[in-house]
Amino acid sequence: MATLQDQLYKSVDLYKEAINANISLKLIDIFSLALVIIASIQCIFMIVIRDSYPFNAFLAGFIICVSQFALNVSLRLGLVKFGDDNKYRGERKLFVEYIICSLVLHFITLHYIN
Amino acid sequence: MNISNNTKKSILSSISLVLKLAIFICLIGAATSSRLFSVIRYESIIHEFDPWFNYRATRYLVKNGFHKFLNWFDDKTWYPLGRITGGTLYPGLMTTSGAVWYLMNKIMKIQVNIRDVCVLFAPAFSGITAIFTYLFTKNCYNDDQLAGLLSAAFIAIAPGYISRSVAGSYDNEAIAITLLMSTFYLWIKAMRTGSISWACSAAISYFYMVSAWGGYVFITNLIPLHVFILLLMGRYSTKLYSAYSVWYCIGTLASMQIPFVNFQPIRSNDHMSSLGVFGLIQFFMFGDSIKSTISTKNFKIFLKFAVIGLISFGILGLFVLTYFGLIAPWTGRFYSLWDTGYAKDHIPIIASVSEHQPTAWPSFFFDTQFLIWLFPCGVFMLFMELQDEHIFIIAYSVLCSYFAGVMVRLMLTLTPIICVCAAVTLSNVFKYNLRIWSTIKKVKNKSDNRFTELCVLISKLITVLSFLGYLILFVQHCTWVTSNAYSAPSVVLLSGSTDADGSPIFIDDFREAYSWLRYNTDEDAKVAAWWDYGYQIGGFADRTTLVDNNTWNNTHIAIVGKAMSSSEERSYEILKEHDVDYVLIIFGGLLGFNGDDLNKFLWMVRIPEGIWPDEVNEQSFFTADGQFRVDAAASDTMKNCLMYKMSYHDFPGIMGNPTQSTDRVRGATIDESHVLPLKYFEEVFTTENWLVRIYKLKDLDLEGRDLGDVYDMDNTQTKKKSLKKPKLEPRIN
Repeated sequence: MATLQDQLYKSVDLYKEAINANISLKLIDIFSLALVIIASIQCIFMIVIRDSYPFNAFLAGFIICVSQFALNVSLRLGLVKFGDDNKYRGERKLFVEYIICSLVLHFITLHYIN
Repeated sequence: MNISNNTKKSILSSISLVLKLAIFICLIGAATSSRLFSVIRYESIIHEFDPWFNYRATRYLVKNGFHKFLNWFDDKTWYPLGRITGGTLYPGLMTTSGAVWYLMNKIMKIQVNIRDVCVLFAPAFSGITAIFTYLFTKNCYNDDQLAGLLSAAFIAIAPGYISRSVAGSYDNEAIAITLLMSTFYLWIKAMRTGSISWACSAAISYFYMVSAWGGYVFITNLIPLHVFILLLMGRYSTKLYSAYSVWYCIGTLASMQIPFVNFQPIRSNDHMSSLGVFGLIQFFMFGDSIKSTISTKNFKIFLKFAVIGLISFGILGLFVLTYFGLIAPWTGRFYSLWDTGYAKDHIPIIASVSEHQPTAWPSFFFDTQFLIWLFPCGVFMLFMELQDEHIFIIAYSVLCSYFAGVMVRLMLTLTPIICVCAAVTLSNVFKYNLRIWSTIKKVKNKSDNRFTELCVLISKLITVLSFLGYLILFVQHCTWVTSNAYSAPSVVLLSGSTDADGSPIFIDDFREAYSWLRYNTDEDAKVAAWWDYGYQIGGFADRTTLVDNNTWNNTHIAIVGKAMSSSEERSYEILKEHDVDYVLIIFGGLLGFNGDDLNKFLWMVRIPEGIWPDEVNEQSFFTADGQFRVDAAASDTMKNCLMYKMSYHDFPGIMGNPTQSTDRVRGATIDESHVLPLKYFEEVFTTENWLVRIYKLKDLDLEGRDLGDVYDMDNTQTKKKSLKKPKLEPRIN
């Protein structure tokens, strides 16, 4: 299985190259990582204090992290996918969609969190 | 040449646009007008049972505003418990019609009665359903407009859908099918384009669906199933990832806003499949992104371990969490979908509803006519191509065919997909066979194989003409079924005979009884009736009821059942404990009305028997040889129970013969000697055709005697008095 390990290392290297080449990818990844950290902090906090009340607030906080993460990944997948032709238009459309969906998501979350 | 070609094209496209518009207007017209039979034949009235609750809730909403509506605690039902109505209903239907009413009255300044909005709500939405079905089919089937238009035409008039959406049938399903189609359309769109904004609109449409109907669980499971099948077939794509994860996240969060749904999406087992698929697709996303850098062989090993590990982890986690009570186990309704006998044994209240019975085979044909045999052909054709979106239709049709076989009411969700698949079949048939001109040209050309071409032409003509014939028959069948089977309000009955001047005679006993209640009883009077009539008593008569069609409390229903099936003395006790003033029963013996309380009586025995097996026993209501009889052969328990006494009170003797009458429903002869006198209740009202009878509980005796004794004493006294009474004759001195 050594080859598998090597290949995994190699993919990490490739990944580093990719995010250094494109600043927006880097930003999205940092944002996603932050979301994962925030979500796990909330989870750990809930386990530590052994109480999930108010549950809807916890859920809203947790799910918005997951959802925003999913949105980020979708955006990232879209950005990576585009070739050089009509890149600008496609990217702009992606960003607009991303912002609209995030706004909808935040509205719903705020409504749910009370 | 080029320019003329272009102009030709633009003219053609504009003509096709105009034609399409005309077709849509016709479709909406057909969909709406075929649902208006009931209004024309009867009047603008809310139908059946559940719509009466929805109507009452809508009136409350319009009167008190949205916030009060959401916090509505209804103390007029489920006396003495009350019902937190605002938190236990799906508010989508009421809110939509309330909004329509507000828009018309307050903004457009058109004076419309809220009742008319409610009555015409379902026909109006059926037109929108047709449009969404068109879009759905078109997107699902290779942008085939012909299939789209055909499916829209089918859904507009298919009886399976009309059965729940005639004018006056103001039920959740009226709006839910529209939302079902719109959610599916948006999902297919999102899945094909991979655009997150389509996924987001699918989620919003899903939210609307959640707010409108409990059947949203179907979507919650069907879309994950679709994704799961695609993943298993190795058809993962980034488009699928974006569409599903965005739909799931936003949809779940949004659906939890509905008070009635609350934490269910993360707590109940019905929703766990979507969560599991969400986890799985995250993993696929990760795997896909590293796939490009790892060799395929290693990737396969990696994939195998990970998939098996993930699935077993998910299933194990599900069991553990269910065991510790963190996730609610599957509900009884869910079990009854898989095991048709389950409900009858464990939850008689579900089995007692006729909608929940297994479907009889003829009703498939009755509800969809020739579409039912085009349906499998359509599924087969989709199988031949098997694109990603075709799998959705296939999954939908397989699942729903099963469910529709289990429960009659789920015919409703099957009908749209039958229409879609049948449209796919027909569109293929027409696409090939309608090319007649080219064949005619070939025949004219005097080519070598002229004879074969002629045969082809004839066979094409025959096919097209026979399918045209089928279509015409279909339209006739739909109109006939709609007009004869699905347009009765069931609150007002048609007697079948006509007046001297040819106008139909209506049997209006229900409204007669309810208006008697409204105008002759105290405002806070409590009426005990079997739960079927709870919503109507609340809606028509505005009186407090013990139980109603929202069967949330089985015990409470069992109490009423027990009161109906116990001896008079015992049921008087039970009813007095619950502060009841009136008892209302439905009796069809005089009219021959099948759905009366005596025919439902065994459920009034079975449901309390499940709770108090030592007090109520189903066997004791049968004759020695196990028959359910109401005539002389009826068992003593049967003759002594409250329902029997109330139904036949004073019944013998009204049909000419002074001591006997015939019960026209059960074909039994009721003799005076079978019907024991009522001692604790007195008859206060019986409608014209004896369909509804209302009894009042006698007040407690002032001297504290038992009412039975009082009755016996009074009767013997009056007899003695009549004996002693001297013959009075006018004396003239």
